[in-house]
Amino acid sequence: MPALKVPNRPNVADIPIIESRVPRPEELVVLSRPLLEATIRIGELLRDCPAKWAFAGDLGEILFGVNVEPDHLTILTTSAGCNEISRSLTAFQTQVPRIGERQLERSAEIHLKPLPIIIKSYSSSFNIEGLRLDVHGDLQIKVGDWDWGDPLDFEPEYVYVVSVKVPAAPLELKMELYRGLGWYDRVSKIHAAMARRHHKIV
Amino acid sequence: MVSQTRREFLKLGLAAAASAAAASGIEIPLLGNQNSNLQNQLDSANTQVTNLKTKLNTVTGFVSLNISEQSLVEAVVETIIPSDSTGPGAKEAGVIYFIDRALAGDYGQSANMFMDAPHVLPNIPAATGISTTLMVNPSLSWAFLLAPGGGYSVAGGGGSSAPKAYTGNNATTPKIPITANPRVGSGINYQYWMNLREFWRAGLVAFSGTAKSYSNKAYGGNFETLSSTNQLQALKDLWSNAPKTTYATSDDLTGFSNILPSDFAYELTFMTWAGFLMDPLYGGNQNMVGWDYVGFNGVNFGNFYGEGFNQQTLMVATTPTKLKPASLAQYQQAATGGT
Amino acid sequence: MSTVINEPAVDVVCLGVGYMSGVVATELALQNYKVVGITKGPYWDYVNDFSMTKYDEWGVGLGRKYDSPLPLQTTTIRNNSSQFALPVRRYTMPIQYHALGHGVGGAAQHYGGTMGRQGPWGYQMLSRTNQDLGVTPLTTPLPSSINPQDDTHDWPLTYEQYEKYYVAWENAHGLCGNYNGSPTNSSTDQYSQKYPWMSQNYRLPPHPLTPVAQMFQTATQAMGYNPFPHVSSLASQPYTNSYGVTVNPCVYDGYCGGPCDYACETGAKANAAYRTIPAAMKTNNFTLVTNAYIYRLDYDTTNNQVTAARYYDAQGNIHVQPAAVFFNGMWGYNMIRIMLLSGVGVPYQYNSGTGTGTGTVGRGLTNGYLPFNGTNVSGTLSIGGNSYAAGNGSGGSVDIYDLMDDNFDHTGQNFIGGSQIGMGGYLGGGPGNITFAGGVGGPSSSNPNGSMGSAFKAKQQNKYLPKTVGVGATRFAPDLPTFMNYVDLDPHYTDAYGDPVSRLTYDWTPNTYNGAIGLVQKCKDILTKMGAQNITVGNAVNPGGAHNDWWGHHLRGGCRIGSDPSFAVYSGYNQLFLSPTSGVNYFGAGEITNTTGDTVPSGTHVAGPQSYRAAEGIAKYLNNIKLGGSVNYLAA
Repeated sequence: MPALKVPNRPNVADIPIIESRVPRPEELVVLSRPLLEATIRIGELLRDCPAKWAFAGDLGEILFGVNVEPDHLTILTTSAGCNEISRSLTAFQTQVPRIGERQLERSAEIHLKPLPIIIKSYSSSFNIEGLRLDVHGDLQIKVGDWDWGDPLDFEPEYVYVVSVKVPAAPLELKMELYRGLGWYDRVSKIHAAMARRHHKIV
Repeated sequence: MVSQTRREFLKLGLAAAASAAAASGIEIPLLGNQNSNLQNQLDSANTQVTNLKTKLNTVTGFVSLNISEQSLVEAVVETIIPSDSTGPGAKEAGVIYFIDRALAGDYGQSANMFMDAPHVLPNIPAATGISTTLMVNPSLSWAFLLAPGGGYSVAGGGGSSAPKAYTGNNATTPKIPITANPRVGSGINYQYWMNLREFWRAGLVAFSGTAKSYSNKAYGGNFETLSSTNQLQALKDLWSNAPKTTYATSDDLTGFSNILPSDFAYELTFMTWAGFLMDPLYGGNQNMVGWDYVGFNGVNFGNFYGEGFNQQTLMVATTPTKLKPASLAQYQQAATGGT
Repeated sequence: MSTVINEPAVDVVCLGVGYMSGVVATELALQNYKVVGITKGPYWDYVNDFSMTKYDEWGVGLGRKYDSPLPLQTTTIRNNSSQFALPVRRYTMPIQYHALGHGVGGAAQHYGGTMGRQGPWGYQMLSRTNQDLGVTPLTTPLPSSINPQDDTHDWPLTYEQYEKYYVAWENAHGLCGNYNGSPTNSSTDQYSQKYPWMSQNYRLPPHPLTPVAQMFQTATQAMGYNPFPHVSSLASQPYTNSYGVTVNPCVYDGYCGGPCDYACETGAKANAAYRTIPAAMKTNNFTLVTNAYIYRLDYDTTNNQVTAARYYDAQGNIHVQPAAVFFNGMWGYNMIRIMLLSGVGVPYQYNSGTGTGTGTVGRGLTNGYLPFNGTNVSGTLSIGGNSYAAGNGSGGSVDIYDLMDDNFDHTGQNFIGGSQIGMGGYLGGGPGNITFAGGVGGPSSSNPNGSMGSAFKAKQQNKYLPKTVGVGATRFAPDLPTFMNYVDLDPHYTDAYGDPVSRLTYDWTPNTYNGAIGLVQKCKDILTKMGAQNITVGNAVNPGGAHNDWWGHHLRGGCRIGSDPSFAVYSGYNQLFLSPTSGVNYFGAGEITNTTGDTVPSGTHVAGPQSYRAAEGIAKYLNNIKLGGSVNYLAA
């Protein structure tokens, strides 16, 4: 360990200096203020929503400390839940619930040739103070020419966000999803967040 | 984690997968049967490492204590924590090795201690007939504070810039007015100019081994040769400051003239118990016999050996649950993927 | 000759990067001010630095390897001004284990995590006591029968005025608890919001209560008291704070607070490094300087402005860092020391002949922690538990504030205030293998051979697996500010760089011990109601019966805030006064700036609102400068 140099003293003082690397801003996990406020707002509005729902997507991950930078909000729920949420958030709705399919920008990286990923859900969209919220009911995933997967179903975990308590998709679920899609960069981000959260061993 | 083919994972119902993964810590997923060879190699390597570690756990050499110190310290620690019917003691725990390593390391070097002069010894009375005057000079430039608006005032509530004399306590001169009665173990109690290695050296010699040492003068021989009753009593005598630190006749003084016996007793006792109960990484508490004796868990938070307990229940229990202890080395090995 | 490096000027320099600077730096960086934070230690990455090595009582708990090295800097202690002060040469067990913090996060890296708001009475201790006693004017010092050489003063703000800043602090740090006084966490049950009232609840639910805590809760409820879970700064749930920083919950590994004070490897223990500084760094307006030892502030005596902070880097180079405003977030005696070394503020000088003093910097030192020794009430309960490392340093227990402040009748008593009383903390809040509740010792009535021999050894067998638990209370009333307890510079000892260390002249005030004696019966009554056996009153200590020989880890007061610059260093905005209407571009906050303290254990929580006041004051000051206002603007 490098030793402290005291000026104008003949000998180096025998005091250890612990080398430290100050992290760069991109290594720090901080949810932006607009998204934080939107999350709280939605949490308040959906406090009494009877359907099962949870924050998902990058937002769902950052709430558990994963180093991602969401630019919108995502909620996973059931089809009935999508209707419930639409009722609660009518004032912000930009797209009424309907079944839709779309291909994701990024492909599955499992085989040598990338496979397209299509998601299908009963979904709606909202604009909360300039931020987009997508609500997906009974989301299903299809990779390449495989069969459609079952609708995503899970028990949410809860995180307190200042004044509200909100459900979010568990990290284990996302990790399995990403493994299956071959997105190992995303797996290791979640891995890192989980490492920070627990003992190194159980 | 048992693997399925990629095509099937989406159909499983990820809730099941999620709950299975949740129970584990960090995993490195193996890719199924084609890597059993690799697994076998890993197992074999882990076994070899474990065997090597068992060998290294037997620590039998000294790096700091000299030959006479070794036998004296051995007898002392075994008096403080004897091996008896209730269980193993300092001997089995290797307490002497903890002490030896500590004396060679930061503890002995007083590496994290403030060692500057002046050294005013709070509880040592000066020898009769000897006036040890400690001169301290407050007229250094920084002792004067810059007052707002210019000019200087003396730090600490006024006073002159003349040197101040602090003299020892004897029959005619009142005691040095210092902080009253620092307790043994208090951070302002140890004011010696010696680092702890030297303190031990001086204390051990003052205690036993020469004609003027306390054990020899009071009990007729080296500490190691005394009966166990006298051994315990000799240590108690240190705590009660029986060995003289001043002398009325030339015969009274033992080697403790500059060390308060109770301060030395504190180090002996404290380090013996530390050697019994600190992590084995430091040379003592070997095979965690100390932790086993007191019921401490080390780094086992309830499931280190697969016992299936968790902290949340253990911390609100009304009856105790003894856990087999785990050491820091075991924890680090487990956390980095070793066995 | 050392190289001198001139750093570019910024808006704000934060001295030290602990709890207080964390708030100030973040608040101002979010308002687009350029901020530099300077700390003598490193940046701790808790995963890399702590997770593999923290479970180590010898290296971490006793060796204090994550804390401030004593050879770099220490302090000296004496009880009164006629004595020679002895330097703290060593971090020892069991008595003086609390080390000065080091690096980002400071001392909060290793503390127990207890929090608790100070009640309204604590902010107006002097005037309310005088009111009760029928004394006018209300600024009359307390009689010497209660506190000799009394220097007690009211705070510049009331609890009501601080309340919103408590809220801001709690939102940022994620504190756990129920509404004060409510065991059911309801704002409307008969107990709730009793004392002190809260405009909003703590952000996170309390940690699970222990069986002992539940017994205490039941007993005190039946007696008409208002129990509620102990307030903790260790997150009990995943949390995202008001700055968007995510917080991991406590994993209850039991290597936490208590005797050994460990850092937290999941970041659950609230700390600037895991609550505020990440948000400051994310703004790109904050620069962190580590391993940098601040040794002077440059002070312009003509304009009464601090112009720069000077620090040594680890290679011995000198850096000069100018700024428009300076915030001092250094711990305790170091805040005072840098001001005395630099000629900032008016040094306090004690006159032992008259028993009074003049000046302010260093004045009115109190020790926020409890004396080690006092009249103690104890008993045993016939339930057991696990007292090895299980739980955390601040959860599991239940408190009442009913025997604190002026919440009970003091007729005929010779003390003011009282004590928070709580029981049932997790038995294992940190390994105490060497502490044995008091440490190794010599022969005594309970241990005729001291900590030696078979009989004592047998007492240690399975001691972490108790079948009965001891409960008790040594309830001290608040330590009160006096003229004779203060901080100044030591004339004999220096730090590694050759500058004098601080000197604490301090002994416990009578109020603490009289409170312990006065509350004995009420403590006995609680233990009786709980069904404890062998209830004994022991260890009777009268005022003056024990003397302070440690520096304590909650120094409160010494650099106080107030409305009157004749005793206070800082104004109600935590800004250095020149006069009642003008100030200096220099602010400070910390427990050391507390004007008084009731015995809520953590004065850190009481310092919290001050950091937000300081941030607000600094923003006002900078805005005033922008508008071309006076450099001696005193924020109002």
